[in-house]
Amino acid sequence: MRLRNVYHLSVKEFLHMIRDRRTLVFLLLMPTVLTVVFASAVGNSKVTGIKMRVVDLDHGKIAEEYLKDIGAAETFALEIKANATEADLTQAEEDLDRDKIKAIVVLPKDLTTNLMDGAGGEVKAIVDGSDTFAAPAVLRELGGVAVRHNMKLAAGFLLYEGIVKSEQQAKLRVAPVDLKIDVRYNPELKAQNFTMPGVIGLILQLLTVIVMATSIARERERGTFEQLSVTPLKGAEIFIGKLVPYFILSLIDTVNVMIVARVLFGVSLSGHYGVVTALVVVFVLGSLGIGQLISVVSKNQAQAVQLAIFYTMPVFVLSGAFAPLETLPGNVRPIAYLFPLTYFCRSFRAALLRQATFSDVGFDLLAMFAFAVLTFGLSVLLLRRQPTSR
Amino acid sequence: MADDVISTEALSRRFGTLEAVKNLTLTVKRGEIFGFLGPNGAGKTTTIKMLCGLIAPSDGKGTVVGYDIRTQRDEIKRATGYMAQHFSLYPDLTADENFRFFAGVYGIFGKEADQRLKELFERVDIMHKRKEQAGRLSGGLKQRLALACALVHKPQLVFLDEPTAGVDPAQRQKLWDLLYDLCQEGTSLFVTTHYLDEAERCHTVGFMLGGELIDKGAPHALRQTLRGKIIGVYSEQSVVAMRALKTLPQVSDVTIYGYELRVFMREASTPQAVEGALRRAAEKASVKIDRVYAVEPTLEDLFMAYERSSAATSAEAQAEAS
Repeated sequence: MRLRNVYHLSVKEFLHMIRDRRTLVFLLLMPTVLTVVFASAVGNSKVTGIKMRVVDLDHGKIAEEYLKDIGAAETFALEIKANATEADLTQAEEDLDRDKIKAIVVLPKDLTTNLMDGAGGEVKAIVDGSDTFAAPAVLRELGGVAVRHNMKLAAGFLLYEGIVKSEQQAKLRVAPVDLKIDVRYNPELKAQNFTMPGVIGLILQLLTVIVMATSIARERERGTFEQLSVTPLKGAEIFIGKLVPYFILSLIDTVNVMIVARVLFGVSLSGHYGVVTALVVVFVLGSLGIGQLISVVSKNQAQAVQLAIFYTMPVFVLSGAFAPLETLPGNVRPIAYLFPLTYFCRSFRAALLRQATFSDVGFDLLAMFAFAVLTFGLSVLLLRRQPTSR
Repeated sequence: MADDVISTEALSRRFGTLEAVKNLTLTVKRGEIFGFLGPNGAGKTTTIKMLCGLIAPSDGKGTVVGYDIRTQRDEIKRATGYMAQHFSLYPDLTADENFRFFAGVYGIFGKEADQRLKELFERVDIMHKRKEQAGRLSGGLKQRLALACALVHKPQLVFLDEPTAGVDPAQRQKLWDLLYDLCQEGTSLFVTTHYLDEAERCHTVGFMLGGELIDKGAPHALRQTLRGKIIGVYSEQSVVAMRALKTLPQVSDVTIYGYELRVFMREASTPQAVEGALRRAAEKASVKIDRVYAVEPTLEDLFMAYERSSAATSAEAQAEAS
């Protein structure tokens, strides 16, 4: 391999890039715009404003307290039917059927009276399970409300019966063990802090794979690849020469995206520069390698784009960019480790949020590097075997 | 032989079950313009690709500019130029940038590249368009630019795959003048073409048909093989006359050129000898024949004759098989 040849190809590739202004602008803006979209839409893991109706058949004091507790949760957009009748309950169930509301809480008749008499009571929750995002959030929130409310009631009884002297003591009796929480690295539990490193990885991968996949396919489509093939250029020289301008472009995009994440979403990006740079460089190389592999096996640009999408789509879901790998079923999880993005998401997150060092991300770096070498080597081999080239 | 710029022996190339080139034994003399003719799918492009080191032969051996086509492909690439069938430069780069890229790839840059550019661009007369994007050049200019790029490293032999396809006659003339100049300086040229009038300009031509080289020689010598076998007939009802004449057993084919019919005889003859038979056949179909005369065979006639005989042999082979 001669560096001089790589240089000539890079210059040519760079000229292609700046000649096609529209594509260049797109390549520079796309990552930034996608970052804004992903960060504002996917970043929020908290579900809010679920429509829920409370049907109060009890009309008593306890129901009133219960309502207050539910109303405090921002998960719900509450509609309260005070002084309700059986007809209101029927109406509510119909509304649930028509998807006007997602959940109903029924405070039964005589709830207050029964509890005062020392008998138990039952609050009924009807939840629309077809919405797998809203339903679990409703159940979690209602569970919390039930526990808090029971504690309040129990403490009230203790005080009322004279077993304890003060509210403070009552609280100790009812809930003697307190949970002390210490959240590190992302104390506000900001969802963007988790998703942002993954989003950066996704965008970088999308960009590099598609751009690289079309590069050789384009030459093949135009017939210029034939002309390249009769020159003394070697496959590896062609690949590296083509890679350099896109590699530089990807690095510029990375910086752009990280600035946007920082300025617009306040994502803390404070890793060791060396580690962060090494991770980005190795990851981008691996993605470009995949792009090249796709490019070698495609006959034209359309095929290349199809293959690129076919590769990037499953990776979206499997790599742990938006949701942790733990959300994948156990038998699917090993597949995730076939993609460099999986290693990148994990290590980049560690580097940005936990200031990981080289020894922390060593394995991930190695895995991604191996991937880059593998895809690159395979592309060169495949290119050599093709009849219309060397 | 040192005087042969190309020399192959029983060269074959198969793609799966398809035998694109069969047993090709071919020599091309140094300093010649060699015309490589044949219909589409005859194996011309496959042959060129084997000769310039793009694909490996399945069988046989050969040398190009003295290098082995199996083991010394890199040397061949450095000593030969290639101008593809379709425009294969970068349309978004300027003429200048295209040239400098290919120069660089062959290790020519800096002052040397400037000098080469000036020399070649002036030669192909494209200096005034050097800053224009290659994709915006006219067909003729594109071809000339491609030629300049193919010549950047002073190759001993240049392959031109249908260099004048889709180029107007004036531009074709200009390109051929350039090719003769090159040849004069000692560069050998290997040209494929569909235009048979163009083939006449070559020093030697070879005919490919069904993957085989079926004939080779100087254009005029090849044409002489048809001497006496083609008789010209003038008739103002040429289509009807053609149908009538085709029925004769001694006539193998008839082609129409306006009011002129070119009648292919199975055996060499003279117009005087066959006139009677031709006129009788025409009368039977009540068509008037004005004149019967001798015509000079063209490469086109030759081409048709080859195709016809190959179709006849394959029909025979089929008949025997069944």
